[in-house]
Amino acid sequence: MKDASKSEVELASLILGYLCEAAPDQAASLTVDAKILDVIDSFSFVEMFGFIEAERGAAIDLSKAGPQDLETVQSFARFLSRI
Amino acid sequence: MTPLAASFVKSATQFRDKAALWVDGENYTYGDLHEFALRLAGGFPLSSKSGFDTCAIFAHRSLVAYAAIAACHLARYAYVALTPAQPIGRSQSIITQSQPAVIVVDAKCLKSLPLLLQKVRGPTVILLPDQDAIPDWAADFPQHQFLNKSLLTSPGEPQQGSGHDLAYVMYTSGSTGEPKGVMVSHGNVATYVRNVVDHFSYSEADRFVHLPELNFDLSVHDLFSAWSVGGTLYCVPQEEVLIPDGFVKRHRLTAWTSVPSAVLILKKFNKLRTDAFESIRASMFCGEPFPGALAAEWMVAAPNSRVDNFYGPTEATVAVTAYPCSRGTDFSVLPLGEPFAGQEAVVCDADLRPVSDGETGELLLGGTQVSAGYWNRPDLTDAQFIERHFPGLSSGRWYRTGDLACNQAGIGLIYKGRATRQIKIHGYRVELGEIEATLRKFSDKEFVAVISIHGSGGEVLYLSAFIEGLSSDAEKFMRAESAKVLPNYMMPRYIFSIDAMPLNSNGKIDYAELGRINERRIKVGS
Repeated sequence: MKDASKSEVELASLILGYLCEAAPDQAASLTVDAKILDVIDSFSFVEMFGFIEAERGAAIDLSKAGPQDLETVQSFARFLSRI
Repeated sequence: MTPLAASFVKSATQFRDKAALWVDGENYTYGDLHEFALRLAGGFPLSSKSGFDTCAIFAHRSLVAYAAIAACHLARYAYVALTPAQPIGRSQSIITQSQPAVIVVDAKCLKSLPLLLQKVRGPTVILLPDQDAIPDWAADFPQHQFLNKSLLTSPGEPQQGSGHDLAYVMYTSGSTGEPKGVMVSHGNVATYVRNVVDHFSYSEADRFVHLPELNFDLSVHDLFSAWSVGGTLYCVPQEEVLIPDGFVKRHRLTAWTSVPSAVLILKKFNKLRTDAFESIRASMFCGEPFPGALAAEWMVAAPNSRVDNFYGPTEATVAVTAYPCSRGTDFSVLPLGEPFAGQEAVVCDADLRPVSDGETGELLLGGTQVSAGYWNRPDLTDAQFIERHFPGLSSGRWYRTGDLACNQAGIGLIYKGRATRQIKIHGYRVELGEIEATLRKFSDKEFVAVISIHGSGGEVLYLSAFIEGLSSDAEKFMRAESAKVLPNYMMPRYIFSIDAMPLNSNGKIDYAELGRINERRIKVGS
């Protein structure tokens, strides 16, 4: 079931799942404090948006995002949970 | 000295107290950088005078990485950039091929160094310029000499060199499953830099936005243009790479270089507002097809900038042609434009005979930017670099790009797609055959095919893989193992198991049919 109102914890888990699949050699050490751009490149980050949008079943409005929102799994999950 | 070392030293002398580099929140003057580079060069063994000695730089975009590039050229070494952004398996493959005599490592990459050293055969000098102590595990590698900060205090003497010496070896995707190294000489880069400095009238007043990783040859454009004119290179911090608008504004940056996809990301973040990049006066885009509509949006966001679409493969040193957007952006994909001074382009048919204007054929490039070929791969070099004379053109040696193009009077070259199975994803060159070889290895299946799915502007949206009879367990294993050697951008978004690979009437894989299967399966899955 697609759900646009996922919690911060659920979103963090979704992001971590994506990162673990993208970088299996780092999977064991990935936590919510992981810096996303240390794991995947900027273009993969955009791919990840598409994945999260598909999972939420709704478009993500990124216009209010600042660099700090995109830094870690936690900060990005928090940003997503508020929009 | 080698030409790029001479150019750097000239700027370091003329602009000693001016900033050469901004990285990790600090400014470094030309004097600082020169002094650090000389200390690093002091740790290099004397070069063999062949002009083909290599030094691997295993570092983030850090002060150590940039000083190491200058040090390589002062010591007459070619650099091989290994970015930690790529899987360690890929860096190991590059090290196995290049067998550098020196490896420079920064603090952030130190943890992964033992994995890399497993692939280094001969005795190697390992420079750790930001380490106070040599790590204990170095004892496991007695054949190598480790030099840390306290052992790198004596400045090296710049070595004699020539334009034929290699400046760098840049590894790109190879169709057999292993990356291949393009050998680019000082002469190639010096010519390119002269061309682009003239083109954009770069000067010491310019402040360059530096976005690309050092293993991507767009980095060469910013780096050596800036240092040849006494400009300043601003290395965009990792956390601002996606949306660097604030960084550009804060530092009043003037020169932009990126792949068009970077503009697409800014658009997704709604950052292409009018005047958002008003300080930029020169914008260079390269690496993939550039949709005209996107270029027009950039021109609104950067209204004071000259905006040009550049084209060129790594084998011809970053870019060989340019199309100025001032001539119009009303194209689905911008033209490639005209070659720079001293460079030549010819469009040929399958028998390598030039075609008439308006006819599509393979694009061949000639001139002083065309590289010597591939590192230790004379077979590949002979296949892609050919000796030929064309009427009215002066070059005798040509690089076959595998790109399809046509020449249109008044506009120049127009991109028409690829003649081979090589594609570009966000500017990264990818041989689909390399991905297939990797998936084949880790799935243990014979019939594997990878296709690229394109957007309306011709850009690659994603990759899909098709494998005969792949179980879900085997897929899980294959994904995990492949991700250890393939960078993110080379991993297929979808991997489909199919009962039988579709074949055409010649018994070859029917890629068009796979495209249709992909479309059907995506629809079912959505």
